[in-house]
Amino acid sequence: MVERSLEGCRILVAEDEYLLAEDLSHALASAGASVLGPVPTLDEATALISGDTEIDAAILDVNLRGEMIFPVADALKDRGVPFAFATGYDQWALPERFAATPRVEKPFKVSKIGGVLGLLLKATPTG
Amino acid sequence: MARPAGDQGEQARLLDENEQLRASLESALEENAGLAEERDRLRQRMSDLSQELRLTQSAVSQQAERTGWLEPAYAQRGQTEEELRVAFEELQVLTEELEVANTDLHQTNRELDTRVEQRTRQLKEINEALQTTGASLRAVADLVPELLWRTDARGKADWFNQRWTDYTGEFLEQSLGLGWLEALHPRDKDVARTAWSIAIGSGKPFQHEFRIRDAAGEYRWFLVRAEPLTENGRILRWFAAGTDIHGQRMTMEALQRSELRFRTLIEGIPQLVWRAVGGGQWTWSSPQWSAYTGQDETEARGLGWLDAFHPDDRAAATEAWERAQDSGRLDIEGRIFHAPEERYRHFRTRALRVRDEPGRAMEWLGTSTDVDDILQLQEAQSVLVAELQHRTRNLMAVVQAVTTRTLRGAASLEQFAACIDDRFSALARVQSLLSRRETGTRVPFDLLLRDELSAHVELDAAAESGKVTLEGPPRVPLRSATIQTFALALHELATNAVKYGALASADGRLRVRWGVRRDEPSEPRLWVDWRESGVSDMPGSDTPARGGGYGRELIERALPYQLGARTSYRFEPDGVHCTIEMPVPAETHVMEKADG
Repeated sequence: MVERSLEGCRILVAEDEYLLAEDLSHALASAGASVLGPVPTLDEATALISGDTEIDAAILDVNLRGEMIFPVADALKDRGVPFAFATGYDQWALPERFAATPRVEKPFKVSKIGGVLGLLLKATPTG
Repeated sequence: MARPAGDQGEQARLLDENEQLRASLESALEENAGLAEERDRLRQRMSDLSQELRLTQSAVSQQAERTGWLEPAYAQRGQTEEELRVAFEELQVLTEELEVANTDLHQTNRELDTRVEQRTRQLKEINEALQTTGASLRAVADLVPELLWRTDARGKADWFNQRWTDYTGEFLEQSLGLGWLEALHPRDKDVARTAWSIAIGSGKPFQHEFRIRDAAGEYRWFLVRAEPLTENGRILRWFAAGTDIHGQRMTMEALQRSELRFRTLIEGIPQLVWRAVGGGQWTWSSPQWSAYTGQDETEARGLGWLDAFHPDDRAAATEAWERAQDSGRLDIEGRIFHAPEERYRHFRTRALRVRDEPGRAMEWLGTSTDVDDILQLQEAQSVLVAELQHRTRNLMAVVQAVTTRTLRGAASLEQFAACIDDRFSALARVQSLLSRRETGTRVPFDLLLRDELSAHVELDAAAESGKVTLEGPPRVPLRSATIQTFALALHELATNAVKYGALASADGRLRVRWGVRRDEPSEPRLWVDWRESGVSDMPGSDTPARGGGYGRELIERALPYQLGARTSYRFEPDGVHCTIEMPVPAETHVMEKADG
């Protein structure tokens, strides 16, 4: 992630593992993004998206301290915010409605996340 | 038995008639003798009268000659002559009667002779015939496979066929009277004796099944029937027949046992068993079906069982039956109502078509198996597998992050190697701790602390010497999701203490105190106070952290972020002072031992 491909993008990061959240945030910031969060709990994630904060895209860990991220994912879907799951879960373990949601398997390479986010942002007409 | 009875009756009748004829012949002869006697008497009287007449005539003639007085003599003579004439006439009538009687008598005599002769001949023929019949009957009686015997009106046996003696091997004398009852099985004897005496008393036919001992001492089952022979409503004797039904009886008993075993099996297994004819028309269901669904057996019959199926699964069940007509196999996955729980449970319902010997389809035998628990277990397993994947991959990601940080803080490859080895060991220890605990239990803080410290020092010896002091309540449970990061943080504290702090110098002391704070309304919070002392060369607060600051980052940033902890990390003049306060679960169910 040498180039600043995510320049100016506001990316929400929900990840309860400090080290991973930290590394991911650092990498996104290096690519020019401004990171919203990272948040380690469902409550904090919900609080973040229910406000007026503009969000361009999100990277969501599926399991935050034992709670599933799906309510947040649904809310993002409603808002038209593209997101990807960064998770150790296989596709089959996720609800069917997220079958089309991009999934980055842990342990992930930060560059992979950058690529997925790039695709997400390109596919969504930004206002 | 009707034939000989008839013959005997006929014989008796003929004998009787013969006897009557003989009696009438005797009375006729007697009458004849009477008539002859009467005749002789009349003859005598005639001769008396004739003599009297002659005497009278002679007397008259003599007197007349002597006296010449004839008048009275003539009168007397006339009277005697008259008497004589009457007597003569009487004699004549009698003689005629006698002759007629004589003629009749002779005729009767001849007739009687003829008839007696005829009867005698008939009797002889009948006797001969009877003798032949008796012999035939005996032959027949000995030929039939039945045991036959005859008793008198009071039930005492007086005749047995050869089969009886052959079968029982008993002498006839043993069986006579009520001796035949002794050949019955001890368990049947009393019943037989009672039943027999009741039959004798009532005159009603007797029918019972008994075991009769054979010559070898083995018992076989017999159907014993007896009927009375009656005449004018009076019982003359009884005829009894025993038919060997041992084979049938054994087959029947085997069948009953087999049926019983089958039923026990059917009613013992947890599956609901049922029988049906084509198209799913149930004809029978096991008691388990009724107990399970609350439907009684008649309600389940026909298509009644469909009512116990979940409404959404009924159409599928009906279709499955249609398909089964071709394939001969039925397989339905559908929910069945469980009455005790008042809910539907998942069932696997299967059936096979049963064919008889010529291969005609007879019926369907089916079972419905409760797979609800299995399905739930499968779901639970899926969740567990997903969870395992999640954790493993998360762990790999953590390993990756730890490696990156260790690499960043390492001055040399050697330092990296030693450091990464330590950290991976700490990770491995906590994984081991987590996997050892039983489901539903939590790792207590004191266990985690001791586990970590033990990896660095001889804890018991250190506690003994006062180098390490641990003060706090046991069994404070930790949230599983927090343990890995917490353990890594404790590891960094311990490893720093060993490398640079209290455990690195002879004078150094480590004191760890902890407790649970319940003053906040929400969750209880564990507080930990890690205090090192007696450390001489403490760095200044602004000095860059040794070891790349990874441990400090974990305590000051990772624990708050990940565990919702409040932490502090300070270099006091004589050693490190670290405090950690974090929410812990309210329950106290913890794993008991470190090494399990």
